Amino acid sequence: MAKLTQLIPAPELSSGQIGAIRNQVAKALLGQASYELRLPVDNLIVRNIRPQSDLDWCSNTDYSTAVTTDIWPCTVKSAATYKDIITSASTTMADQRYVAIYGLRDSRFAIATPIAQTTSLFKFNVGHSDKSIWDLTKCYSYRSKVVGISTSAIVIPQNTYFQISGYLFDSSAVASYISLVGLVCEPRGQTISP
Amino acid sequence: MAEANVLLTPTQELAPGQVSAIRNATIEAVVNKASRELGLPKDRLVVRDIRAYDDLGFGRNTDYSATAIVSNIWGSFQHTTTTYSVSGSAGDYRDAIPDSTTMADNRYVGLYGVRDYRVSRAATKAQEVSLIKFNIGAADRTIWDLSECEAYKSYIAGVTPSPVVIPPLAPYQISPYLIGGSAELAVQLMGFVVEPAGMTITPFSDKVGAVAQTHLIPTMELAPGSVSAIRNSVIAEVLKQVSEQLRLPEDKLVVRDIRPYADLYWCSNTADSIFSTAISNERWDAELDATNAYADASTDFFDVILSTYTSMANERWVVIYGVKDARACLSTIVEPRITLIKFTVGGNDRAIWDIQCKDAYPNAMAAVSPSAIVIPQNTDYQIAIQPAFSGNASADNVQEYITLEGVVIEPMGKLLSP
Repeated sequence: MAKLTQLIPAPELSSGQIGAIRNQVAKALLGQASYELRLPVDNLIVRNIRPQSDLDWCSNTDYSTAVTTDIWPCTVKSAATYKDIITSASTTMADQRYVAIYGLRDSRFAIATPIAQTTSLFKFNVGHSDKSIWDLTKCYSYRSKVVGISTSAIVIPQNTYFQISGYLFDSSAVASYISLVGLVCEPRGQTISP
Repeated sequence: MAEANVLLTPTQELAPGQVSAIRNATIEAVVNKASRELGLPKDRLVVRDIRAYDDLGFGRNTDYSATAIVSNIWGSFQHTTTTYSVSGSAGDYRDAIPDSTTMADNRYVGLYGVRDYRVSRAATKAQEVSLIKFNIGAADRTIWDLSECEAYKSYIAGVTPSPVVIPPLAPYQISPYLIGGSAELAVQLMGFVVEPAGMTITPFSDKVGAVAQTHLIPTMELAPGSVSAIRNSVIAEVLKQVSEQLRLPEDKLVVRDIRPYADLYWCSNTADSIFSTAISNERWDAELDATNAYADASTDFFDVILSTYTSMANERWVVIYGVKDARACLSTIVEPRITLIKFTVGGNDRAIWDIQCKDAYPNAMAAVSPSAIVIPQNTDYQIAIQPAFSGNASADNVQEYITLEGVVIEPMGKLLSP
């Protein structure tokens, strides 16, 4: 079976498929974490990604003005190339933490005046090899639901190098409302104790 | 004998999948008729999109359009700083086709509905067309009432289970009833052409015994799950082909998104004068040159890919099965700027898509084709467009936002190592 890494706009997926993908990703991530941490699944939790605390999203001033809080929005810079989103000091995943990313969202239509985006491709490098390149532009024909999902999640295991790069294609700095669709798996009590 | 149900029904009043059912039944009926009358097997026929001017001459009659339209545009478009509008006389049927027009030999046109794409224009205008009358072979065949569909603001389209079929050499006329006299045109007929392969396009003949269905279908007119089904079947077919040709098992192959520049060199061509600046980075949008875009005077195609780059890379297959318009996600929607896209692969024109079909759906400006365009490794290709914009030296350049929907298939490790 070939590796299907492409991004699929959410409106082009069959009914229930996003739920199926999410559940499949969570199950696979739990299985990997359980095996590698030697912990039963019920000692693990699955939670949302915190943009700064888990990924240090938009911390690299190559891509945007540095964000130092747990929010996804940022102001991207002008360029015509890939720019790294994560600052080099944060490109190793924390110990006992696994992150899976399986899509992109663009929330700019939830604000008063939507702003045109200037990031087209997103490249994911894990363990020093490029795992996926997603083109968010393909989701921009669906004004009411700007979300893309991939059937192949990007998994960043504990203590592993990762980098996320955005391809900036315009010569203007604009506010970006793009966020990653994904989840974190870690031992119960490491961040929360549900 | 059953009654003739010629009603035009708003698509939003139909059950899910019914538009597809009507389209498929209409295609099957017209293909059977063409196969029987032309004495050709179905796999020697193609189904393709209608070219508004080249196939029908729609809007060329100044009885309907203030200016005779001689490009493949269904309605209004920007001409320098103004926009073409309907003819001045309201309160009557106005002929849209030049008088005494007959259908080309060996060509069948099937029409089964109408779309109103005012809702995706920069500003929504009044609709000046109410009824549409079809006269084929000197007899009025049907009259559709578009205004019945206009209770639905999100998108406006209607279909009928009784299609209008224009056979080869038949005289025909299409006459919209104008209720106003000065507004812009925004009516597109839903339909297709059936003709012998090679007459206009020569599609890939991948299914023995079956007609090549190269037409483009708005995703909003597909049954639930059909986009996934088309995507999955296209990828599965090409994966098999790539696996055989590269002698690699499928699990050594990667399917990924297309990079507009690095994979296709999209909009890299300024030699053909349509783009003001050659794109050399990873973006789909580009600027049309106002001095050189002349939709009102020509049905010429403009090449998108610079001739230096028109050979696909080694060990790389690009598969294109649809088109999208990112202008849907601008803070202020701009006008549509492109009418047709033509794909040439290996020296043959494989498909001509009328991308105006997606413009009736502002929340889903996307369309897919059941027959994908496959560009194999080391194969020559070109993609060409026709503009829906006529500028001049004093007009401003305009931006277009078309993106292609498809995937790249290549060996694992060539670019990605997932």
